[in-house]
Formats: sequence, structure tokens, C-alpha cells
Amino acid sequence: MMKRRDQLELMRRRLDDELPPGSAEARELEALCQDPARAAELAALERLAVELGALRTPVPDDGADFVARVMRRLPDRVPARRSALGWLTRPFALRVTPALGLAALGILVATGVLISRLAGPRPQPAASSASVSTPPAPAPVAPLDPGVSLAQAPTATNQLTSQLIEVRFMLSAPNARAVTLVGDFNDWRGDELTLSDPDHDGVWTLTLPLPPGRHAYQFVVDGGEGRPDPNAVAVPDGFGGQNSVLTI
Amino acid sequence: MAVELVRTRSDAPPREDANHHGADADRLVEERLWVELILEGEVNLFRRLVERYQGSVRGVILRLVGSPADTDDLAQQAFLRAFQALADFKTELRFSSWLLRIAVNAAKDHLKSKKRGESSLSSEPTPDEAVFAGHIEDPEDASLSAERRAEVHAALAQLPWKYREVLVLKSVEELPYEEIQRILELPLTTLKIRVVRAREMLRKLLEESNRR
Repeated sequence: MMKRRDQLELMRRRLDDELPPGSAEARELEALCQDPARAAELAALERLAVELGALRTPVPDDGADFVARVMRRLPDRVPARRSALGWLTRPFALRVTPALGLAALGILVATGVLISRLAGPRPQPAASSASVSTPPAPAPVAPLDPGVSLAQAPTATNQLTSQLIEVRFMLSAPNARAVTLVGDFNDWRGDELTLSDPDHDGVWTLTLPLPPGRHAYQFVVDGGEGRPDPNAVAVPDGFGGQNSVLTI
Repeated sequence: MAVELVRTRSDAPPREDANHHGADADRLVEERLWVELILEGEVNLFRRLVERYQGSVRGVILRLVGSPADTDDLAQQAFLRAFQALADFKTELRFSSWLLRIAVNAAKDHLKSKKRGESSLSSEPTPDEAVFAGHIEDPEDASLSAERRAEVHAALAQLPWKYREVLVLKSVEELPYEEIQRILELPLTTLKIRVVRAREMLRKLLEESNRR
């Protein structure tokens, strides 16, 4: 039985003309569509693709008038390239709502309290473990089947820094060339959060400060499809796949 | 049960940049030359770029904001922003990708300022806007009724922004993934996942609206 995620990917490839006729994948799709529900779904997506394409009608054109209006608004010459110094010294307007102002004030007060506690008299050893703890050592990683990526459950440390909690994400992927993390905390952008494996032991890690709460995430290995962390709680993503969930 | 896998796109007009590779390369070289000359003070050459891309820019903005009343002004803003930032344009990029990135951002900024927050980006067009979307005259589009066109347009406008922008660029403008990557600066995997999710969401939205 093909996974829902794979079904959707096969349909996407069909819709995007990426399935050569007669290919194994095309035959796989035809077999999938022996199921009337899947056939109806694909037919609906095919109809939708045509309907969306038909929305691309020319915008009523005022032709030269539009061009003339743009040209009239242009300055005499292109402004010079913006320099870093110019950006630093240029004043800008900041709009702040009362709610945002209060929140900023709260963060300032909390930061001040934290700094004063950290700068105060060093507590006795019995009390120190309750203030700041060091991140726990990584748990041993289970042996892997070749080619299979296995995620080490993210390890939340309780190093409190201005309302953020440092979370260490670990993925054991010995054959991977690149591993990235995507999640609702970075709008699922795949190229921002890169895990590293400096000692080349196949265990990729990334420590990330996150606000308390519930976070959904996936790992992306070698730019492929996102995959959930098998050692974490997983929930359906609503599209046949699964997201891992971390609550801190 | 077998499924009919055949579809047609004959009702969609050709894209402005759908030329073959040779002409495409010539166009890139030509535009880089224009940009260099504009930077040296030949401001009037910017007219060529506006003439070439006004259709794409206005089309993408209309499909994203759903409001013809705002489209012209936003398109003008996009060209103006492009002109003002032209010194920062990297010539290894395509001018069209760079310009469409500016246009998409102008549309996004407009919707944000209009109703602030993500919910505003999911708002439906006003009835007038939806009616407009269904009233663009094109004899070749007779296969899609004005009513259905308005339904699809309204459903598209309900999608969260990040899904709407990929669907407009991929399924309406029919740009290749590589081009959309350059415009939105997203990795290919993320882009394809968003396209799949956007289509699923739109299909479900339309099914729900049909059941009502």
C-alpha cells in the first residue's frame, strides 16, 4: 500500500508533466487510480489544474498609458547602491502598538531580573543546579540500517535565555551529505537551519533557541522530501504525511 | 476503474517569456546591457523593461491580490521599486525573476497593510473583485464559465499567502519550478511540498463550497 505522501507526490508529478508516458511511475499511478476514490481525486486535481490555467487571462491593458505613468514617476537617475554604513546611519520610523510596547517592556524587565540573578552572589552547589543547567550529553544513537535516516529525539535543555529554550536536534544519517531542519518556527523554509556533523560520525546536530510551546518539524536529508523524526511524537500533517511534534 | 489522465491547456494564453533557448539567451544579454546603460544614466531605456514585463507583473499582482482596482498602482510601485533598487540587481539573476520577486512582495505588503496579519492574506475578494475576475473577456476561455471562474478565484483568495503565492506562480502563471525558486528564494523541496498542499487545500475548499 503506497503511503499517502507518495500518492500525492505521484499526482503532483502527473499534474506538472513530470511523468513520462509509459514510465514505471506512470503505470504506478494508473494502478493507484484503480481505486475509485483516488481516481476521483486525481480527476478533480486535473480539472482544477485546467481551471487555474484558465485564470491566466491577459489583464485589461491600458498599454502605453501604463508605461507612460511609470516613466513619469521615475527619478532622474538610479539611486546609488545602498551601503552598509548608510543602512546603519539612516533613520527609520517604528510603529509600535500599546500591546507590543507592553510586551517589550515585559521582556526588558525579565531580562533585567535574569541578569541581576546571574550577576549576584554565586549560589551554593545545591542551589546551582536549579538555575542554569548544562545541556545533557547526547543519548547513544541506535545502529542504523544503511541508507536509513533515523532521528535522535530532540533534546530540550533548560538553558533559559530571554524566554527562549535551547533545543538540540539530532539526526543519525551516516550517508547524508546535507541535513536541514524545517518547521513551523522557520516557516518550513528548507535552507536556513542546517545541521552539522563536524566529527563525521554520521550524527548531525543543531541547537536552536525556541520559544516555549508546541513546534512541528521535519528533517530534510540531501534536499529530499521532509521526513518526521521517528523518535518523536508524530501527528498527521493533514496531507497524508506526518510532522514530528515537540512541546517545550 | 481507469482514470482519464488527459488534460488540455489550450485555453491558456502563452507566457510572455515562452521563447526558445536561443532567443531567451539573447533576451538575457539584451536586458543586462539595458540595465548597465540605465545605471549609467540612460533612464529612458527602463521603458523597454516596463513594456516587456508590464503584462506579467500586472497579471501576477491581480491574481495575488484579486483586486483590479489596486493592480495598476501596485504594478507601478513594483516597477518604481525595481528602478530604485536597480543598483543592487545582480546580473547573474534573470531580470524577470528579480522583478517578479519585487511584484510578489509588493502584493504581499499591500495585503498586509490592508488588513494586517495572516488572516488578511486569507481574505476573500470583495464581491466586485470576484465578479471582475469572472468577467475578463476572452473567447478562448468559454469552456470555463464566469461563475466557475469566480468560484476558483474566491477559493484561491482564501488560501494562506504562502500557498497562494506558489499556486499562482505554478498553476496560473505556469512558471517552471526553477523560476519560482528564484522568485521566492525557496528550496525546491519546500516549493513542491507547498504546491501539493496548496492544490489539496484548494480542491477541498471548492468541494466544500460546492456542497453548500
